[in-house]
Amino acid sequence: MKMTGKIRQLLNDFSGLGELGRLSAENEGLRQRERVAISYVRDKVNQLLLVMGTLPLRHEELDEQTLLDLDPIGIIADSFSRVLEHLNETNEELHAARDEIQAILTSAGVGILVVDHDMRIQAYNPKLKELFLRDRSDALGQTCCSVLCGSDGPPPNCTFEKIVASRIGIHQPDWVYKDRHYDVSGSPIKNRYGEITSVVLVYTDITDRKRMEEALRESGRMYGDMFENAVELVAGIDPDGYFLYANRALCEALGCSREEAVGLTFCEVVHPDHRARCLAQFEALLAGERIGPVRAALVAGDGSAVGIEGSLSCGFKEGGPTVACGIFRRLDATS
Amino acid sequence: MTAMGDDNPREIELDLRGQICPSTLLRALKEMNCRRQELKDGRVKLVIKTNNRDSTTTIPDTAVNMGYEASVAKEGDYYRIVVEGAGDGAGRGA
Repeated sequence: MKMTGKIRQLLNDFSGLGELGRLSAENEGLRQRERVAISYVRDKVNQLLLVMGTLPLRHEELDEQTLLDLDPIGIIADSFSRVLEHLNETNEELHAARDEIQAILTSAGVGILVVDHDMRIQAYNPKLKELFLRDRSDALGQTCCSVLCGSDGPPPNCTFEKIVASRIGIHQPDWVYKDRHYDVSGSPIKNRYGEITSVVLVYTDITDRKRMEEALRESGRMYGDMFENAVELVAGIDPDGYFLYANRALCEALGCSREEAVGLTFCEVVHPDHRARCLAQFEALLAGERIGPVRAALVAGDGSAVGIEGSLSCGFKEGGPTVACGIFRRLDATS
Repeated sequence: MTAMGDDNPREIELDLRGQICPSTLLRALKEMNCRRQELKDGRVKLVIKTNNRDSTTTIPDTAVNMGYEASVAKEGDYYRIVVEGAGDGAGRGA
């Protein structure tokens, strides 16, 4: 048997069949390795394609040779490189935007509060802390109703609830909190699905303005009473010569009601003998000139003349006359 | 693939009709990568023709993730996907 085997070996070596067999086996091994390698490439390509959010490759779509020629791993690697570069650029822009927003929040003269959809405080600026959170350092994560309004749930007329219900920005011009008045504006922030993720509320302390407005109203009432009860004749006249205001004494002198007086022009009530001179003085006043004492006679409703003497001044805004104010005393009682 | 016109940006046309995704995506990405700087500078825009519906989502989505602008329009029996540089975008204000 040993001899037979050696003879067969010699014959194989001599004919080349042995080398052929070895090469065939080696070739099969190489094919197997290529199949494994291509299978690996295809698996990795599919894995990367799935990451990119698309379908895996089908065999009929790209044959093995095209798969190697197209170099999909190289393409996807280059694409990922660009995606990462873009993400880095976006991150840099976001960082810059965040710094800008932070600077705006810090320097804003209004209180800014950011709450999530559960009303929990996510962020606030220094002005808001100054307005509402002077003694608190634990406000983050707390509900705004508990921190600001001091209640367990949303109070009546809650701006946050109105925004969530309407899904649009809301302006509440006078929100009162601990005897102070605030102008509150709020806007929802929505995610890509349109869901409200947070709400930004902006608080402007308008207490001083409200007090000033009230003081002005009070002052207006006081001056109104003074003019109304004065024995002098008081008139407000617009640049076209129409009475805007006539006090009781003036109405009595003219013998008409206030409603009748307002709507008349001063030329209609000035005696015809004095009309041209009074008109010239009025035009000079509107032109910004100072005019001396005004002496004239008015024509009362019954046709009688009422002598008056007084002064006329004019207010200006943005270079133009607004209203002329006249204060006169009757001469008929004394002259 | 043909280059059309001398206007800025120059149009590079990639006709992928008859191919399906992800093969279309890979070929589109290959072109985007080759034209990366030109796209970024706004010198060229890539016009991709495809009749594969999946590609009208995968190609624009990937292009946007890469920082480009992409739009899709139906033209006859195929889709025209335009990929171009995003430019400077809107001003961020003073």
